[in-house]
Amino acid sequence: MIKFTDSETEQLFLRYAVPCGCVLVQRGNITQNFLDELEDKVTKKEKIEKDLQEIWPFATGNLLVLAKKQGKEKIDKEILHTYFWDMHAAVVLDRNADFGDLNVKRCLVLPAKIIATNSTELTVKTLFGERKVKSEFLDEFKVNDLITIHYDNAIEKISEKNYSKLKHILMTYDNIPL
Amino acid sequence: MCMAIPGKVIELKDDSVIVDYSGLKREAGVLILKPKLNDYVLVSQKEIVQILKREEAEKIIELYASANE
Repeated sequence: MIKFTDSETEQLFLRYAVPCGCVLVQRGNITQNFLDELEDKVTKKEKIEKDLQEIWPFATGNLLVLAKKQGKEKIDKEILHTYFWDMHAAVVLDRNADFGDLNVKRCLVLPAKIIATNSTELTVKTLFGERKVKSEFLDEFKVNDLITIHYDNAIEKISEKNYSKLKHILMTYDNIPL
Repeated sequence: MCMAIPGKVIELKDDSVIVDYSGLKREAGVLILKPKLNDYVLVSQKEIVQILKREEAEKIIELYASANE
């Protein structure tokens, strides 16, 4: 069973994983109702009582491989970022190349800058232009904050250094469909 | 390398397996999962990351085939 170093790290995994639950719904792996419940629990920072490996076997499998290769027993933030920041784009693009069934720009984890806010939504600037995302996963935010986004959600605030790093990673790909 | 298409385990070795992707054979590690012969698997980072039920694997393979006709 997958184990995280602490509840904060587990919550961070869920914030990255839940937004692409729509793909699992599309494939019939979970229902929309179940996904809505998951999103609600993650917003409230409540524990998910289900086996996360059953819901997200591919993502958790990758995290476990990374942990094992680094001699770690539990998943920490470094492993999460390695997967979702360094590897996830390749996973998405490979999948899309084989199946053509992903909205790639929504599925990629993107670095973004907040340019406007209201009570529930952020307007952000990304490599692919402006987008609106939900702010429910963030505790606080303001204009000019740098964040990551995944599908329709803002995921976490990031540093200038990591923002540049993520931009650089994405710019190395020449097969992102525009 | 990440294979989004399931492959079938056709050979078991000490620390790896041979996975067959409709004729294309690739070796994959068993760092976290140890499949059985004829199991369908997904590979990422050259390691088995998921073992699939046969029905699910066949559905995905069929989806891939129709996406690439």
